[in-house]
Amino acid sequence: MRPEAYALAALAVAVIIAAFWTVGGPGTAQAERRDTTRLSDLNALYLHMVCLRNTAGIASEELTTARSDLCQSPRRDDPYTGAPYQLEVTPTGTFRLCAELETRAPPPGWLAGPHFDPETGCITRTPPDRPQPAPDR
Amino acid sequence: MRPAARLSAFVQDGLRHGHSAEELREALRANGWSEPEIDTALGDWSDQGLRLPVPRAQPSGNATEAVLYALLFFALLAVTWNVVALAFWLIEIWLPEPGARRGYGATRAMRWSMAVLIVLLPLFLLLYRRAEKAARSDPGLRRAPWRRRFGAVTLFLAALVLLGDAIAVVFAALIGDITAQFIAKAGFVALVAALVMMWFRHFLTDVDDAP
Repeated sequence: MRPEAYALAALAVAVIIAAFWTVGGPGTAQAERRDTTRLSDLNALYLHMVCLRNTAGIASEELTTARSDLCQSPRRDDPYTGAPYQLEVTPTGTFRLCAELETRAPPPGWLAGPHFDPETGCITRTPPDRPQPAPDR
Repeated sequence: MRPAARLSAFVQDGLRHGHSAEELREALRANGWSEPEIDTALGDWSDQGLRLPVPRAQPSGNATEAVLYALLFFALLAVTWNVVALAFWLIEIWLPEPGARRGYGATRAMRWSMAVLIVLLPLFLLLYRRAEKAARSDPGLRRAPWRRRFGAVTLFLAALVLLGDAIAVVFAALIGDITAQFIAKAGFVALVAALVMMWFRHFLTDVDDAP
């Protein structure tokens, strides 16, 4: 083969090796997929807590454990380890939901908003205000 | 009869009647035929002193060759495209721009490019070796039309990529958008396009050397 052929082939192989080194192999990909499921669960739990507070009228201190027929209850435990997700309502009313993640790779865009911190594996989000009842006429 | 066929028939008759190639050239030139047209017509026939013009070997193609070069072209496009795409992702990770977040599904897209390269790079090298081995064993195959088309289209596309890259660099400079990440990306594209041009240039130049 010509020298340019070797150069281009070597460049392609180097890029493939660098990509493996950067994003990891099949094991890393499986861990990322499990983390995506966990983050999806945290997002569902956040929406559930908002529903409990705004629709069912549950008090803040009971939001992490309460259930209601008015709000569909999502999974509360990690489906792979069985460990419960960490849910917390701070004194300022912010919801903090955490999972034990296996990777620090950015999750898909719809899960990775500004509320997600890949270092801690937590979503910290202030829920919208409760809807106010319409004034009597 | 088409002009080229008339010209070729004239050369054949001229050689058969004992005229030299130079005499025929002068006659054709005097009647307004261009040098490339005359070269082509004279190139169709060889005067071997038999008083009978001998037809020169002409390029010919077949379906196997068409499939080989079509596959080679597809593999080259896929390999170069995905090498560049993968390198762009890596550059974005290694040289992040301030405030930028890695886009949606970055690792998934990278793994797709890796999969394409793992399958198509060996296939491409295998097809290339096969084409070169065939051309070496039968030099007449260097004139094969599909080989010339492959070489011409590849060089044309590589040249377009180099030009586009140069335009992008000048434009980025003019709008003040030159960053380390941009320079690395533009440099990588130029490197790949230059290697492709250097590699496949001989697909056209070999034609002149072929018997």
